[in-house]
Amino acid sequence: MRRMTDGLRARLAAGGLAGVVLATGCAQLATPSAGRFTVRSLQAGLSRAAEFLKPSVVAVTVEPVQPAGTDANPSAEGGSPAPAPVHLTGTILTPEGHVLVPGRYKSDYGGRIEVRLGVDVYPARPVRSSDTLNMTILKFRPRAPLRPLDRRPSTPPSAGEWMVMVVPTVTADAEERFVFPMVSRGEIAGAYRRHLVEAMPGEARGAPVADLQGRWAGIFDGRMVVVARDFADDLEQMLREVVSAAATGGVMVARGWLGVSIEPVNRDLARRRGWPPTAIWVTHVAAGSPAQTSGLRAGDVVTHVNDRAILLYGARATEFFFQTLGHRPGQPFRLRVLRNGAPIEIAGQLGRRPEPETLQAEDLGLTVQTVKDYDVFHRSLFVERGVLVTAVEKGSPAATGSAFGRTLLMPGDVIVEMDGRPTPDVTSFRAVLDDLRARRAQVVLIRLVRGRSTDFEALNLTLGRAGRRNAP
Amino acid sequence: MPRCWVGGVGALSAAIACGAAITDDISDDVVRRVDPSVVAIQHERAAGSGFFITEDGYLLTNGHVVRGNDEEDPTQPARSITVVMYDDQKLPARVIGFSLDPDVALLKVDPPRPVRPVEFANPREAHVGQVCFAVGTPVGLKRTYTRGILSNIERADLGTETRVFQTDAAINPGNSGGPLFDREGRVLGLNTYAGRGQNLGFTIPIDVALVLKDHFLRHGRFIRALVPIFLTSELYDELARAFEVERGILINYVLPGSAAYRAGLRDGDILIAVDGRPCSARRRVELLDFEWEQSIRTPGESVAYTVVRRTPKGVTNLTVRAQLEAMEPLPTMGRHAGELVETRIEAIGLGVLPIVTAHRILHALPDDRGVLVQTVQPFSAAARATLRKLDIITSVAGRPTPDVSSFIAALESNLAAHVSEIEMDTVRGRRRLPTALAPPYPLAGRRVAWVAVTTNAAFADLIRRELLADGAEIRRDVEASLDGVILVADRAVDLAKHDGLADSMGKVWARGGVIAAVGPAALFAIERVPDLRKKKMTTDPVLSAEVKRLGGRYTGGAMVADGRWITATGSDRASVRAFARAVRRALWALDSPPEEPDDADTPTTPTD
Repeated sequence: MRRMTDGLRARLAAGGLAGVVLATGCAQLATPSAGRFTVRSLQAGLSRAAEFLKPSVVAVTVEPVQPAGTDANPSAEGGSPAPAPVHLTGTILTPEGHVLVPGRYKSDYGGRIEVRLGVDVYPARPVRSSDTLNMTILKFRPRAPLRPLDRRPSTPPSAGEWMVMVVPTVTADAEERFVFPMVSRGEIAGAYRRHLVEAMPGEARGAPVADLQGRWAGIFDGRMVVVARDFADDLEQMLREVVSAAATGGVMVARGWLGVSIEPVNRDLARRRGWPPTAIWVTHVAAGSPAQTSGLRAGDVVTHVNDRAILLYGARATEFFFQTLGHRPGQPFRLRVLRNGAPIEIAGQLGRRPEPETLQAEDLGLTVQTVKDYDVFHRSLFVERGVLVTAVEKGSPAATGSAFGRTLLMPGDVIVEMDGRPTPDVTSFRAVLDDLRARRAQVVLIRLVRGRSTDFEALNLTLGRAGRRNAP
Repeated sequence: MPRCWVGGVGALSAAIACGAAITDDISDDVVRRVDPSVVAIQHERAAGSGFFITEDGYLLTNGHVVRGNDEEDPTQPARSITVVMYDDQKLPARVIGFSLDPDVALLKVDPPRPVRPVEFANPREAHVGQVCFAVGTPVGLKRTYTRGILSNIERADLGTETRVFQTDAAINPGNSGGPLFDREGRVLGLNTYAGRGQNLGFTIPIDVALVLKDHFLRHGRFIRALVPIFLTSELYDELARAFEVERGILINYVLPGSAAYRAGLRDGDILIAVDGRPCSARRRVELLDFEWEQSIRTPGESVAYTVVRRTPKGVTNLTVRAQLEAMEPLPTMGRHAGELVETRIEAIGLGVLPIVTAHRILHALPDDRGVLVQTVQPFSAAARATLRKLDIITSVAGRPTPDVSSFIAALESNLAAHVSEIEMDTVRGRRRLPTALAPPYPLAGRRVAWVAVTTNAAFADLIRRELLADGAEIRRDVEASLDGVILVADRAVDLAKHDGLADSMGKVWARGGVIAAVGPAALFAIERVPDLRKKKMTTDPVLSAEVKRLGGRYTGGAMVADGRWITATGSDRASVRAFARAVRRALWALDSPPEEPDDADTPTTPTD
């Protein structure tokens, strides 16, 4: 007996039989010794998984930022206390120091981000984030090459299956790596499947998760384990872009763009019309977009994306739509839609989302962008050409009326005329601005559309930071 | 030369007294004169102050003191208003009219003897620094006098429709609606508790209140005059310089297609005269004064606007003519609670409003004709249909629904036919989305008789619609096999004319059906179905003695549901809504075993 168990233990340690024993053993081994064996196998699997993960995690601390120039709590008495830093777990992706963390941090993130490796603390910066994955790749410079996680994904876990997570926990003088076993409560469907597990400490967010065979099963997002098999390809793609960008000097990669606005179909309407209840209604197709080029129209009802049927409802259906569609400009897409009840295939290529022409007019205290078809639809604008105000700087001419607390112009306003000249786009707006500057104009009349109605405001250009230039 | 109260000690003290007016007492004489005019006002939810303006008992207070809490009809005032006079005499009061902005209400009591009305000051002669005093019931403390000065007489930045006065006389919750007197005891205005800062009280000038009083007496509501629709702005310094004018009022927007547009006004015109009289607003308070003067004119009058217009060719003056119209009822906007009554069907969780022009501008709604979604109750069929407040419903099952009556008619015919998914087209901003409403019809299969002899069609329709939307079959004829009989009547005697009604009701009751009656109809029911007399009920309170004489159990209250017998006073929407809910529940529960009785000392027979 002892020889057999010793032998088995040896083989388990070598990682050979474990899968077979654990998968089939529990049902068949009903004797007390079998029970002890199962528990020991479980413990062995847990420690194997932990050993697999331990070298490839780091503790990450992110300091939150407030937007510049604003107060989180504007009041006569002063601001609010600074929000606490956020502790996360990062997964090492490359020996050079690329780390995967949950959440989206843009490359111009204003707060401090630090990576803790043993006793050493390193500053890190975000290099690439993904909206669909809701994850960011950070980069720091380690003293020695790191051990990246072996990212060959395991078979997706099942409900009731045991998994393991390693979470680095930072105290004043040390960094410990704790092992958290967990059990899947059940799977949640989606383009990226997730498994519900028990509650975990906040800093566990981002931790990689392994199965008892010691293979990578997923990433813990704070509430659930996102299945590695489903997003591994997208992650590798993102990493490749980051590494190649670094090699070529860091070109920003744009996201693939289709140019549609969608809403899940009302289930009762779908039943009446004979559509699948999980279908998606196209509410708008942006002018000049790949969607328009491909022949997609508002009113089309989408049932399949890239040959995958949409089988989810509500917000998960729209999430599935965008995640399955693809992320890269140039990537081909296929949609199956119902038009007037008849199925049609739509095919095309994702494009690049056009960046709106933006201008920061410092003299006025306004940030504006040319109104695009997208804005007209999403903001329900009543005017199709003009410049849209997206920000108004406090204390500037655009902000200063005679009543405190009410700015003359507001985000959402569309400026159609300035100084008596039409401003259908940023270029014409800039031309008028240059002219005002040259003339040292003290007052400028702006004609804008707010909601449905027209309004006129006259800005006093002797106010604000640039104002002294125009003083009489 | 201000009149000074002299303490009677000689010329020197007289001179000192005149010069140091702020430290003068308010004379006993003045207090005695004004005291009887000021009242406390109380109702089921709030309290405030007021003052008499006529000997026969008309009094003014703030609109918000007497507003009701009918969610669907903001024009309803509070129900049981009591006026408490200075000598603690209590009188019931009725509301003649009320408005939330300007915040004025006119009430009437019937005093046994003539009361002392206030005297009015001329608000146009008010000046900053003038001594004034307020009288009212701050935090319930009756007949409290507080004193201060007029801190400002041109307050135009509170979002109110008219300018208001500002005082540092202490104005606390409870002072609302009370008078602000000048030192002679003449009313300058009505006080409103504003709730911000210290020593910042606001007063509506009495001339504004008296205009509203006239409107309430004549029409029951304040009817503004306008040429629809153009929006104006004051020409603040930079705007005047930019437009190169010294005087005038900016017309910043003219609604295309409206009467103002057709008359010839355009965005950017500077209004310089009305009916030949020059006008100008360089400050907000001047704009409010101008707008007020125009809105209190008479609808139907012609008006001429002279404007200055800048065109590429140069500057021109032109005069356009138009006719003033009565403004449409207001939607909820700013302090105005609005005057639009919602049509709500709880059974599907949907309430709608008619769309008025003000809605379209306020909420930037497109021009589509339809009804405006006002209420979507959570977890209802309307919520499942993903309807949202401010959606416009333009058609129901393919039929266009440009107004509330066509919407309700289309909806009712689909509900009566138990259509499982009622298609609707909706407009939300630039989105056009079809959806479908799937009512659960929990009362499908239930058949009820509906007998309504009442002038209050709105309440009767409310009940009938709820039953219809739940899927009940509603019939006019009463017969023994029905699941329920619902009676609505202004007078019990009106129901006596229905042949066989009493007989069939008795049979329905005996077979285990529901009997439900609103107002005096309940009296008819207990007269004709003696078994009902054992059960608790309510009705119009004036009939309670009759009920007791018949041996009925009058418990009072707005609505009483005692098993399968349901009654309500029907005097307000809340009781009618409660009634409708109780009837729906009772019909739904008909197949279930009877509930335990709540009243421990009332034994009920097993068949109840």
